[in-house]
Amino acid sequence: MDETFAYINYYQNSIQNFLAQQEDLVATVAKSDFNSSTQKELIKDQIFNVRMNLKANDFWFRYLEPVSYKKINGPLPIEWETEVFEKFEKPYRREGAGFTLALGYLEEENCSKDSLIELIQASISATNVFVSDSIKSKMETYDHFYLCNRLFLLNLASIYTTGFECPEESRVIPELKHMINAVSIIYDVYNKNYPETKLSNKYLTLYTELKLFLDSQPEEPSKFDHYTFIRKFVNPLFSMNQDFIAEYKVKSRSFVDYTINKNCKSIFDKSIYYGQNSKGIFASVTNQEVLDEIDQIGKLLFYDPILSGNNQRSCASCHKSENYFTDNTVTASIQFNQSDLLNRNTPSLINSTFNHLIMMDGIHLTLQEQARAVICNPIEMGGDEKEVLEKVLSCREYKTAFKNFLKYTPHKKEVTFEHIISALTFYYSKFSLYDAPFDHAMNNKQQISLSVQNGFNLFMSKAQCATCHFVPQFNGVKPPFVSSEFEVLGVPNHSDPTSLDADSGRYNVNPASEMLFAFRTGSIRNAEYTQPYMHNGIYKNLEEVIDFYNVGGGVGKGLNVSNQTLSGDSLHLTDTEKSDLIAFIKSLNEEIVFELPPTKLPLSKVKALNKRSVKNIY
Amino acid sequence: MRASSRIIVTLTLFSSVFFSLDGFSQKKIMWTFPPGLVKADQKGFIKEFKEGHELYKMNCAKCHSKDIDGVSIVPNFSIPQLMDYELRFSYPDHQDPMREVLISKEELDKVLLFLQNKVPNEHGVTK
Repeated sequence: MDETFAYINYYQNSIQNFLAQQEDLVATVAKSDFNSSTQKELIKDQIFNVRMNLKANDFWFRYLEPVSYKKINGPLPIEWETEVFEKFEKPYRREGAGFTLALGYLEEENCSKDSLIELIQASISATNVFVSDSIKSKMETYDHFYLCNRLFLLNLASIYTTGFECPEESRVIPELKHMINAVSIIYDVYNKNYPETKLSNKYLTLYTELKLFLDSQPEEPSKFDHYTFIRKFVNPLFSMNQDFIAEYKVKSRSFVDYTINKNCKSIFDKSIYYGQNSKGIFASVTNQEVLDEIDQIGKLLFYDPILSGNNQRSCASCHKSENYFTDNTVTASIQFNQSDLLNRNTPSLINSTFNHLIMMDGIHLTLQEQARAVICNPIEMGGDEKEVLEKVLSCREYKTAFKNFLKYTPHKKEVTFEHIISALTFYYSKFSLYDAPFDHAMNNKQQISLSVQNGFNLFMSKAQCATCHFVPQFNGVKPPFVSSEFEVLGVPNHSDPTSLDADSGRYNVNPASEMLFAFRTGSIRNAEYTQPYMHNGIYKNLEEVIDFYNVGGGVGKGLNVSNQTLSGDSLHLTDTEKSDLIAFIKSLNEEIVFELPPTKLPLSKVKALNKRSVKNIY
Repeated sequence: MRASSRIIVTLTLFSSVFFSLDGFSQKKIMWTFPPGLVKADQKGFIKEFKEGHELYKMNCAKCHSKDIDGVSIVPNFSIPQLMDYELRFSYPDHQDPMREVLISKEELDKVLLFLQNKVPNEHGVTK
């Protein structure tokens, strides 16, 4: 037999098989009687079978054409911008289709035959993309194989075990097992076809051990040992795959790989995801001495009320280093006018560099835009770009430093406001580089308590946290880290908990009905230290937050939230489970070394400005 | 208005040729105003064009320039080559140097504005 085309032939047969199965399903639906519950059950069983086959091809689908994949297995009927690589473009609407939606739809009372067939037909059209010439050309070299495998391994850690894109809890682990076995065959076929660039025996042995581990595990997701699965198998396999990518000089032409660091050897190493540009205009500076100078200037600016309109507020007014760069003492900070409160709670700056979009409504694309907006916001710092620049440059220490930095930004002939905010973002972003005990445990550098492990396993299953707070960032950025998720939770109003909070959230930026009251999913790293919680700071401690989720969010509390994305059902968490969850959340506390504020600020040649002080800020 | 800009372009073209004959690097590259650019926007355009040239030198020239008689020539890219954000990942060698942590959206836009509107080099250097 000719081995040269064995791999591509196997791929094509596999897709053809999947197509034929979908056509069969359409035929079954067409001739079924929707008034008969037994016939509907038969359809459901057949959809389960199609889903198994979908999982067998997921390895390729998700990487090779992620947009088409949404039509085969989209999690939501309508999605906004969640897979948009180019965030600078306007958000756009995408209609989902395929087998997650088909299953959900079948359960609905007014489920019509035609609409169900439409969902399946859309999937058939999308599947046809995978036998097109453009996909075939992507498969002509071995490169795609290791990149598909990388995304597969990342998703084994982040979504495949969580029930994301799988509406039936009881099907999560069976589908996972089926996928793992199917990928095992893909590995075999690939290795025979590409002996020069094959997976090593060491890799295949560990993969076999992973399969044995799966066989030994219960099929109930909340009893499944997610912790060991990722730590002992998935992460080491990921590490080896990164080695293959380097060794075989694997080349990518896809946006799917764009934000993943190919030199990073662990999923639980923060450098895996490039995230935001913390250096701003100083992006090309690599010299450590120069970076240290920028850091020092950034620190002074961070604590300097000169950035505000009345020289009495600094970044540190609300982002206090002793509170992990948030403010534990208030639900929301006081406005510039010193009397009213702002609408939202102060978010921590820690790990903001690992956000795809900035602010709870995602209004800003970069950290620098956010810094500019807060300085110039009349109800926050009340500053003016031009005035702030003049005031900063009236201080000799700042002026000398920034003039000196100009040689690293040859495209700018003079010091700009951009230089100032770039120094700021560079300064505070360094506090995002620390790890937590949980990361150490995942990297086999530390033991962790059984309670934390149980908490993580619940987080990934019964408590339904990980379908929004994705491993490893534990925010709304899931692999391949090119998008940000927004959710409608139904958080109550602060002063009247019997009504929904009026803040329309993401809707302000993208006025689509699905986005009303939606907020960007924040990170739960360091949560123990960043109270109060939720966008309006309504909850004072983690127990209250977990209780909110446990009852089913706003809907569960009896509020009228027609577009809530969180399930309105109770999670039925026991007290032990709640305390295990909290133990896990606390294992994500990062061991950050904070700095004391500067003791004095640069002197200005404008005498009045020298009355300002780090201590007299509000 | 159009005539005067043409004169400036011609004059400065002449000076850039003069510089290069003299053995300088191709420092001054001239532009053609995009059609429909109103006079009020010309100053801003020139500023961005020059910034784009500097950013090109910082981010692109290491791979995309050709030395001819000691002069570093900026290639004449074709319009299909000058795609938008797809430039960041469509070529395997671009992914590392063109990450957003190294060159922002605004900066990339300026580089593209520079490359799209510069007066072509006369050496036929294209990549």
